[in-house]
Amino acid sequence: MRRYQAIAFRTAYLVAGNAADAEEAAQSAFTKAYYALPRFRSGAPFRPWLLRIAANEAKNRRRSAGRAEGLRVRLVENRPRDDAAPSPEGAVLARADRERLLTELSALKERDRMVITYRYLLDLSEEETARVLGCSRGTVKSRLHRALQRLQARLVEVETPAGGEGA
Amino acid sequence: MNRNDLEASLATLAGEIEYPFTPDLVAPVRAAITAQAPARGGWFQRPVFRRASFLVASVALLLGALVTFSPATRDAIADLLGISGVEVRTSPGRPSPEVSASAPDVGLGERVTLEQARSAVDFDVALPRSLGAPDHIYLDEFVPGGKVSLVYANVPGAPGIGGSDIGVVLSLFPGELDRAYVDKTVHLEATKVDAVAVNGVPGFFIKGGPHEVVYLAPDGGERVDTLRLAGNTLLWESQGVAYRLETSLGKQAALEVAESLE
Repeated sequence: MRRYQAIAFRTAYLVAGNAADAEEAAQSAFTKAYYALPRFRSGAPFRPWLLRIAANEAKNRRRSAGRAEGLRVRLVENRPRDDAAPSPEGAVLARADRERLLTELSALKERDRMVITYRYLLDLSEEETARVLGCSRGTVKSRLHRALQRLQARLVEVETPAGGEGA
Repeated sequence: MNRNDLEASLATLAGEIEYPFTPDLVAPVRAAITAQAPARGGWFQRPVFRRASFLVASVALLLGALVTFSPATRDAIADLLGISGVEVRTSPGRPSPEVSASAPDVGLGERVTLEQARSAVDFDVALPRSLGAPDHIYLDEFVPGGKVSLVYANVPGAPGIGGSDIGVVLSLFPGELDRAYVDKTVHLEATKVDAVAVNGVPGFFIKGGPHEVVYLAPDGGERVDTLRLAGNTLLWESQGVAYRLETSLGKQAALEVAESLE
């Protein structure tokens, strides 16, 4: 159980947006998983299934508390910048850029936000993402493609100076 | 920023999110499991059923095969499978339900077009690719979040259920709202519940005896769905939507329909 508790808690946290709900959701997910464990020893992957329950539990808590959905997380403060070795693609982002990326990711619809969250923020494989979302790998690919396109579009919009939209 | 850059940026972002310290979950989960056994409703209250379920689980372990649960454990299955919003309950004393005769009278709500259904609900109304466009679509707005039912008549390989021409009825509804749960009453005799996987998602297949579907209305009052088919039912949940597929098809064919949703 300990090997899964951090990722279960983080998954719940990314959905619920606060530590207290995430803790409850992760606990509840483990409790449900405990009872179902015998069924999962025959080879079904446990982790994505557990994360799926944790995410659902977190979603239920967020909804019953009447909180709006969205990614409500922050970046760590004063992360040392890797200035010595910027990536060739210029992917190392300035803090302001990272904040903006997070803001735009948060503003995506849940469907788009979650596929990106599972795949990149939680670093799940395509296969695991598919299992967590309850769809095929092909669907994950196409959903991810569209989600990234929409995220890109938002980033471009933000780059456009205020009032200069469409100019 | 191209896609590669964006992906690299997201990977960078992943390492910089400020997560709270992960609390220890082991002790509280252990306590919850210990406390739940006697306190929890349904089969947990009955030691004989508890033993039976562990026996079933043990046998399943030995066989490494699909588990067929005894009726006594059914109300625990939804919980075990994480299908929130769906509850299966046994009801030994109830009479066999009547069977509906034709689609327009099934009591699934209002006849609508696919566009109307899609604009009325927040979830995606996916159609099974293997069946194509449904013959009738119903929208029941009394179910919190809305319930959409797709009715297929004259389906090859799926004889009409209960003397009707309906071969498949697929209902979709939000499965996570507390009040929007479905209480499915399964008669004890000749009914089996199999744990299955639909595209990797846990679900269960109810086969055999007649059953009726009872919904709880938003006010908590019980409302009997007048669709009463003596067919098989496949239940699963995906992305907050619960799916109920009622059909004369067998398990494999029902799973194929379910997995063709798009």
